[in-house]
Amino acid sequence: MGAAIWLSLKLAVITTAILLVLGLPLAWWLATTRSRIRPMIEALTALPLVLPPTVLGFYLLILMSPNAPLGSAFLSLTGDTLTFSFTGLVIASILYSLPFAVQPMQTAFAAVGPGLMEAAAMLGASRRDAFASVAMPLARRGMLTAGVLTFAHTLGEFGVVLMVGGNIPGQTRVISIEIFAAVETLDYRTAHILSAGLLVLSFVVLTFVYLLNQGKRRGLV
Amino acid sequence: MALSDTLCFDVSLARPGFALSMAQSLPLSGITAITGPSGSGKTTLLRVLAGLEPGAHGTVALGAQRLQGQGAFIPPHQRDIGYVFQEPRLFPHLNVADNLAFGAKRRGVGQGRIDEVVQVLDLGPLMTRDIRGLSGGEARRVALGRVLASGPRILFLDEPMTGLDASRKAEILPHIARASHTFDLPALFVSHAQDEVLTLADRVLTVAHGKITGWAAPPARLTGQVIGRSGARAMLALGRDRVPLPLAARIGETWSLALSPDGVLVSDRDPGANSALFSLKARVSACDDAFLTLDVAGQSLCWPRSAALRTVLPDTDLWLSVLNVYARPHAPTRPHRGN
Repeated sequence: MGAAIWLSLKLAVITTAILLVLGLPLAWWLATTRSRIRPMIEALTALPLVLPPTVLGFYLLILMSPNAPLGSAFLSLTGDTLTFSFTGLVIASILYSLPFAVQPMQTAFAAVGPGLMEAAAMLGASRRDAFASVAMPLARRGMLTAGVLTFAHTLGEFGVVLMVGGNIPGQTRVISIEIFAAVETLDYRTAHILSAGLLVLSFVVLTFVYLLNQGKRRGLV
Repeated sequence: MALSDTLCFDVSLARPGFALSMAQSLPLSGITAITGPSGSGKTTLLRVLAGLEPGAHGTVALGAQRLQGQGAFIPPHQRDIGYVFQEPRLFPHLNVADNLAFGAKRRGVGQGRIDEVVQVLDLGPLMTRDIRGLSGGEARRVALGRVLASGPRILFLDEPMTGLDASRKAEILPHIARASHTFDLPALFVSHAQDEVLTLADRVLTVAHGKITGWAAPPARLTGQVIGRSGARAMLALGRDRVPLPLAARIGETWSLALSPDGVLVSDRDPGANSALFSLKARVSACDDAFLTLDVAGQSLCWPRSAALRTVLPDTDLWLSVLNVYARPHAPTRPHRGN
């Protein structure tokens, strides 16, 4: 049980860190571009919200299999298969939690608006400078929300993990898989402890996010 | 006029339902008002010149520096243009002092300039305030100060008094004039409010339907020195006359009063006590069909010759009962007529 909790936390932290870094430019682009392909990119980003995890997991399994370019490249580089490995889980989690990272940041960047960016430019700030000194500080609540939601969502994923990671203790057996396995073997005590833990954690996280947004409405924080 | 003293542009921009095509050479001195009806392209012109409209074509040169054209495009943040937007657009995550320092820091302008701006615009009491707590007028003043502190070569003022009531406007207008004068900054001032234009403009460019339609005559002006204050009124010396006016003027300053024909009653005898702000005696020194040249308080005033003034002859006395003045600190620079 301890190994599963540790694995889940590790997966959630790594996924959140990578997603914040990758999601930041994507969210900024989506919030500011006038490109015609924006709706398509937005739809792609939001797909994991509506797709059954099994569908996502199925395609990832195909992509990561040693016969596919991605899987074989990883195999020749590391001597290990991508499927049923922790690295594979991280890649799957990044895709699965992408909308939870991108959408709050996109909303926050959109709220900054072009007006302040123009004002910064006319005061001598390059685009990068204005992004760092105006857009980022003003969107910090959105970034915090993105991080918290991504972390919580990754912590609780099940379907995608089962498809691409299977159930290898210490490698891919995360909390939700452990719960599933415990129920299968009628070990209700373990299932209770882990389920209640996830329930409480999710509740606390969501309350935190809503508190954050309430502060925003009242002009606090 | 040397090329290095002008803002030269020949620009065009096409948008669905709107086309802008304007070419002009504007002197880099004093305040040039750009006026015209809503939707005529005043704001868009400023945005194009500032480099904020990527779809615009043509050439822009600020003095000897080419800003765009012939393959070149200097991005907005490298153009030394101080742009005051319609809305204050202050950074809400920074306080007043940090907003003021934003541009100065990036343009390598020293603390001395910031201190000077704070003094000229009377921003001292606001420095540690949060942006959200500022009143409309205060926010405009900080926005103007932030731009001045960044040390631009030219000031763009895009209807900077939108949404302010008359008293707030009267508070801001003198600050704009002082800023332009103190920092020797030429300004393009976009406005469709006649009173603002009369108050500030040294010359008036008119635009309509995305095109420049010409120059409007600058207002007739008298200048006087502020020699005292009593209550809310400043005592202005106009020649030998002493005129009390409700101005936010500082003692020792020279103020320029624009007189509009609508705001002045002209009579051929002393009106005595009336409801005018003040009355001045004027002597007709010359006249032609369209204008009278009046000698008022030792100053020469070019006055349009309305039907009522048809019969006036040179060397006669007239009395001007001034109902309304458009006053600003500091004397006007040389007006610019025609091209």
